[in-house]
Amino acid sequence: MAKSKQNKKGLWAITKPVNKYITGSMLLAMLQGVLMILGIVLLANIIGIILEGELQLLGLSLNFRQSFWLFTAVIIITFIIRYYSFIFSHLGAFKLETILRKNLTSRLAEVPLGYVITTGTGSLKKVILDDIKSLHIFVADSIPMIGKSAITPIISLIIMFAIDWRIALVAIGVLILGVILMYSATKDDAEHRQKYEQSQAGINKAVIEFVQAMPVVRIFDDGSTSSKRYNAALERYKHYTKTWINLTAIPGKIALIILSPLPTLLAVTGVSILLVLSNQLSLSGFIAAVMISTGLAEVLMPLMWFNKALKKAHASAVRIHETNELPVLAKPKVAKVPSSYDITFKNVSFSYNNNHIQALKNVNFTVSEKTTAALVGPSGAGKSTVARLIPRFWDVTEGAICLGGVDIRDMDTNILMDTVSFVFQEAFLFNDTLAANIRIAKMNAADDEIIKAAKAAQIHDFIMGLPDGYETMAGDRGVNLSGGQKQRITIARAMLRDTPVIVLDEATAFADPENEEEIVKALANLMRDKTVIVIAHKLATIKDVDQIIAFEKGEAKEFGTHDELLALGGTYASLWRNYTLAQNWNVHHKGVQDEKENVYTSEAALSTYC
Amino acid sequence: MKKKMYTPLKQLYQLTVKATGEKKELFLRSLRLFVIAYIAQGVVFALFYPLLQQLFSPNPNQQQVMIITGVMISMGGVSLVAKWIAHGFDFSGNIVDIAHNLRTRLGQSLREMPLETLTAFKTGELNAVFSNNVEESVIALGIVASMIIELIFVPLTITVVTIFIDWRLALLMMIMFPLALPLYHKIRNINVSEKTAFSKANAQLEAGIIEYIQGLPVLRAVNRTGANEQKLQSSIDDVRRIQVAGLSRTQLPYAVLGLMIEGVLLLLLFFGASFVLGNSLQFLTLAACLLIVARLVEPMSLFVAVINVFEMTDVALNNINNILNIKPLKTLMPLEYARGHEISFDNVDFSYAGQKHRTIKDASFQIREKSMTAIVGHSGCGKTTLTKLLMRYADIQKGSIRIGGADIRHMSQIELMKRISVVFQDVYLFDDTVINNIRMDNHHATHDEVAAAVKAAHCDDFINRLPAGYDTVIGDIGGTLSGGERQRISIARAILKQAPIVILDEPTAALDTESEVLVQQAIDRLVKDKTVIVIAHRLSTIVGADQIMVMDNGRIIEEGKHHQLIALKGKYYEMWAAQQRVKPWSV
Repeated sequence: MAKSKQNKKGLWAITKPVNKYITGSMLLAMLQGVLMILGIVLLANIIGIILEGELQLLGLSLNFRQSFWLFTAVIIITFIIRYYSFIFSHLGAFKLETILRKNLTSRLAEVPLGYVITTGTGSLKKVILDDIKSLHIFVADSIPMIGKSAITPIISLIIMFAIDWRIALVAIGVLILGVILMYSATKDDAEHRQKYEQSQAGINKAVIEFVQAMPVVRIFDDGSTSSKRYNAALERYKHYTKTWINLTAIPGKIALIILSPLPTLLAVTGVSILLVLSNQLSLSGFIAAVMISTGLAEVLMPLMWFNKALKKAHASAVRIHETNELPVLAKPKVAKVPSSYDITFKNVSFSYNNNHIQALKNVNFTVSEKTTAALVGPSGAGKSTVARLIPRFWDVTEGAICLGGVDIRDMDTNILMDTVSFVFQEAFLFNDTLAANIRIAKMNAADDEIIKAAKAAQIHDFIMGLPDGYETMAGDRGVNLSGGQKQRITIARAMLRDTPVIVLDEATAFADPENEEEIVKALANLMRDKTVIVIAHKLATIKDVDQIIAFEKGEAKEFGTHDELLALGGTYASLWRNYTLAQNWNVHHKGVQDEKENVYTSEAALSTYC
Repeated sequence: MKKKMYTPLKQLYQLTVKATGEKKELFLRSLRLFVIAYIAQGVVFALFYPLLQQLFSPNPNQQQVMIITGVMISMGGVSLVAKWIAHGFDFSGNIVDIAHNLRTRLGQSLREMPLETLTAFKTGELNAVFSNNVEESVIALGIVASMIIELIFVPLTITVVTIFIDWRLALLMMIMFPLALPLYHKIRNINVSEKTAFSKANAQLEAGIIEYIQGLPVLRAVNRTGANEQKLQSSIDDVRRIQVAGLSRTQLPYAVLGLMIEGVLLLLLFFGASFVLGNSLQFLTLAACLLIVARLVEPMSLFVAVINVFEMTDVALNNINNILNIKPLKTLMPLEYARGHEISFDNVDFSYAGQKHRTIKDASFQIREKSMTAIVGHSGCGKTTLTKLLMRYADIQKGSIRIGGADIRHMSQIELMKRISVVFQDVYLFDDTVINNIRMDNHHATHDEVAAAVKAAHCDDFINRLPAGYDTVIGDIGGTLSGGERQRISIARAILKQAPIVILDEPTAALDTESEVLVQQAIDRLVKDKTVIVIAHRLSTIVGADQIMVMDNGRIIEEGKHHQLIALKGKYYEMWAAQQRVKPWSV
């Protein structure tokens, strides 16, 4: 009970910016509920004076014609109030949607980028789009209903007591009887409910897996027992749902029967008949009682629906709240500006999400201004983490990263961003023209500058070859371009930004052979006279850099030039050996001819590269 | 005004009944029971005519009153019992069965539809159909069905009874039907058109949000986030603008619909009173009539909710049927059986569904059994499509593809798939144990065979290091398997399958050097003595191929062994030279 109170608070906290609309809508809905019942009472009394007599109302005497117009007025006013109650709740819902979306997207720009990347576009989109939408539905449709449902039973009860207390008691009695029956028939079983809810989640998972795995399933299973896992999940869901339904069938049906107004109507009619026969109830009283009596039961059905909507909205509200409360990157009190552009890692340790496993362990290195350092190592060694700590995708757990002697956490984010450019493996293009995709790096860039950057990035000729040239649309997320072409557009961006420091992560990994040559040229242009940190798996491309840092299991193990590290015979030497092996592999098909294994462990190849 | 943009109620009803499948009879029975229940309820209401007549006559006949009350109670009893039994359809799990059957049929359809159709769906789209749409399509079978029947049969019964009591009152009541129909029509049309405008804006917003999140690293670097990102801001505002613009259009008809019963009440009161004063109507009949009609106000207010359910069911059933109606690729008769495993393409033309230009143009080639063929070319030149066609991803428009002399269109899907293994660039592993991922559904494989495949794919080392070895569940160890390890599991899977034809689609492109060597060795084991087709970017990996096919823009433009193609000084030579030129970065 206490928990559900807290839950509701969480929901109302989120709707705070539009509370005016919500309160307004709810008050109007209550007013409408009251007017509706009063209208019915009025109608019952008007019926009483059709033949003769006058209606006594607040000291006024109204004849039939006058009371008819009064009734008409009440109906029209009720209608208008009800309409505006809905308009208010909808306007509030729309506004809430807009506010929450703007807040969330702004928030995402301030939290560590690492969070955005690890959470994934899909989950974040779901919060910003779907969860906010379900909150909207709740506010728009449920608020007027709550207002009306809250007031109707109270007013109906008051009026019934005013007509005759026995009628009121019978109406309540039927409901209480229903509730008692429901409770005595309920075998609420937390265990079964949990199993049912779990199997419901399981079915979603099974569907996703079934869809995604379909190409593999087609090839690798013989058709006889296909889709076994999918069907098993379906069966499990069916079983637990049915068990759960069996447990709730009797109370569920009782609820539906009692809430259908018929039992209350019959009981109240019965009592009223007896009262009329004993001359204790007038015609108007009888009609009013019969008309209003079911208000109590009828209000419960929408409330049951409301409860469902509330649960759903609450789950959404929690997710929205969590996203909105994410810690933002700490801002410096006094922002410092770097005077030179060397990069130093001082005793840097880092773990993801308070994980005990350290992704980086006490890493120390310096990259002097205008030199290039290459980070190498097996996957998972920490290279990419190093690259992502420099733009503060995350902040270090221990130690410090300094740029020109200034801790990057003491720099204004804008200054940091203006100092360092990043070219990552996943080249991202906006659904806009190619020119706009390059210009995004520098909004006031002249066309000449853009062309110059594109030329240096080896993409100008390709762009000019397109029918619309620079005005060509990149397509949704850059789908019209190949990986290598997208990569060169992002290099053009970095070119245009012309920052003194550049971080490159596996920039050539996905390029096809023809693009690769051009990307290497483009990168050479980009790296000229810059401080560069580069991660590359194609070791041949970084053979000549000023400094190679070899990582293993989160530690920076070896430092030196290619020749020095080869001579060392450690991590780098073994990486190099593997690399040359892989480079010289060709699909070893004619197994019959080569009986020895690993004949392609070509020492000759090794020597040509060394 | 455009008419019938929405699915008519009758058609919706037919679609719904069809969806119940083998539960159709039970469902119809529950509908009939609801009809009985609500006619009985209407009769209970109508009994207020005689009741008031007797009860408020100058000398009430107590016995008559008791008889009428007795009939009322028994009709009420009939109504409640009928409802109780009718609700049993839902509460004994029939709706769960229907949803289950729909999902099973959807799964079957997914299993059989052409891969081309399958890959045209977005994963999210299919998930929505399988989980949400199935739930939505069965909602109407339970409580909502009873609400719809109530909305129709209670007013109908009351009106019919009133005809016999006083036809003028009945006529006034009937005004609500011609009033309600155009309103209903209008509401459904508005719903459809508003939804179109809204979903357009919403789709734009969705695309905008995805672009914003994915582009955040770039946008943050140039300080174009939050309020500074105009495009996203205006997409967010657009959704609100469209909603606000459509608000009165959508809400007003609903409100008017809600007002309808009150309107009828006013008419009855006004005209009824004048009939009474003109002595052509008994006062108590009018009183009873008003009392009865007022009873309809509350159920009518649920009409709006019911209409929304129509829309939901409509969309859901449509989406489901779209998938169920996809025809699987037919196996042509007579059946043909492959003799041997040489592959031949004869004048093959292929375009993707809905595309005009041909992705494969007049491709003809032979692949000898147990030879290795490499396909090279720029990305997008048709390499992967060529291999997909061999698996009958979709049917070709012209020409034929044969395996061992048999046209693949004349081979059963199972026969065809038995012969082919594929190693993809992206590996899919099930959230299941390692051994089940390797064995798949190949239960004939003995433990020794599995162990041999695992060893050949160089998986034994890392599998033994896993917490539960072969029985480790992939999902439990999260992302701890490296790309290379995952790829080797998929190769073990392929080795165990022992298919005579192996397709390699750039299996090492996404791997780092460390993993690459072991994966390469595993591949060598897999392709031993097989007919191999390999797609490769790095030409050095395929210099030993028996046959290299160079593709450009859907055509095979060069064909031959490495040294022959080099000597040709054509496209292949150009690509080879470019790759040889890649030099270390000079800074």
